[in-house]
Amino acid sequence: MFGFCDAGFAGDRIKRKSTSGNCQFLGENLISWASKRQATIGMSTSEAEYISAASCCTQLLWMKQQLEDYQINANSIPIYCDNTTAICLSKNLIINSRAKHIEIKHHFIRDYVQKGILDIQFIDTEHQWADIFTKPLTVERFDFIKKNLNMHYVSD
Amino acid sequence: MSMMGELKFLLGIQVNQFKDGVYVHQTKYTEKLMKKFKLEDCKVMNTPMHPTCILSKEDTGTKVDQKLYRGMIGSLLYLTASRPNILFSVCLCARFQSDPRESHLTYVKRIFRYLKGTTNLGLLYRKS
Repeated sequence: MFGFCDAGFAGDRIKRKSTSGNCQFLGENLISWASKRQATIGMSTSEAEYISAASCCTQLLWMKQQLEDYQINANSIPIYCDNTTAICLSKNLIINSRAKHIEIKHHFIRDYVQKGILDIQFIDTEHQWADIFTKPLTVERFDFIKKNLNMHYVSD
Repeated sequence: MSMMGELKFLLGIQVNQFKDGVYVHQTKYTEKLMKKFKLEDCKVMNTPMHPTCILSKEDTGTKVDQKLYRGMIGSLLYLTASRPNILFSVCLCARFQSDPRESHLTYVKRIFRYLKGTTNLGLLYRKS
């Protein structure tokens, strides 16, 4: 089980809000996905990514609970994020001046990273499948991600 | 409840079960939508949205039928159940439901034009 999280910074032209995009896989199969405009306005790309990581985290925790009913216990579930600052924010308990305004609810991911339930890892933008949920893409990129989300043409 | 064989069709979602895995798709629903909105003869596009498109709320273009616009968005939202690739474009267009203009409707129609070329696209769940 693993998740991808990405954010489109200030994708909303009117309110300047960012878009979170995340998707979760079980094995190699896509299980759930989301694209949502964030409730708060992010001041930096890393803040937007951090908020997106937190929402990806909630979904993964729910999936973990569901799997526990089937006696499947998952630990250190990887979340792939393409922003190193957001990763550092979740691993480091120090709050610096650029991040101290971020709301508490977005910081709960830290707790789970500390406990070892979640594991935030870096992934390059090329292999970030959640990209498709945050911005309009070019044809090549769109088809590439589509294929990797396990979307295929059905032949009867 | 009686046994009716394996699952094929449920709430507009088609399920094809093969040896290597299960396909979940909405081919019939997509075809029905194209007919419903009279877009069967449109040109095919290869992405649901142009990479540099800008949608604005302060559009002064002519107003379009809100009922039609909302109907289109609603139908497309249901389609995202098996098509995560159009999710972003549909959600972006859905933000203009309160005051849809001509330009917004053009973008929604573009999503339909993309769908026309990819009616039988679905999610594959492989057996591991």
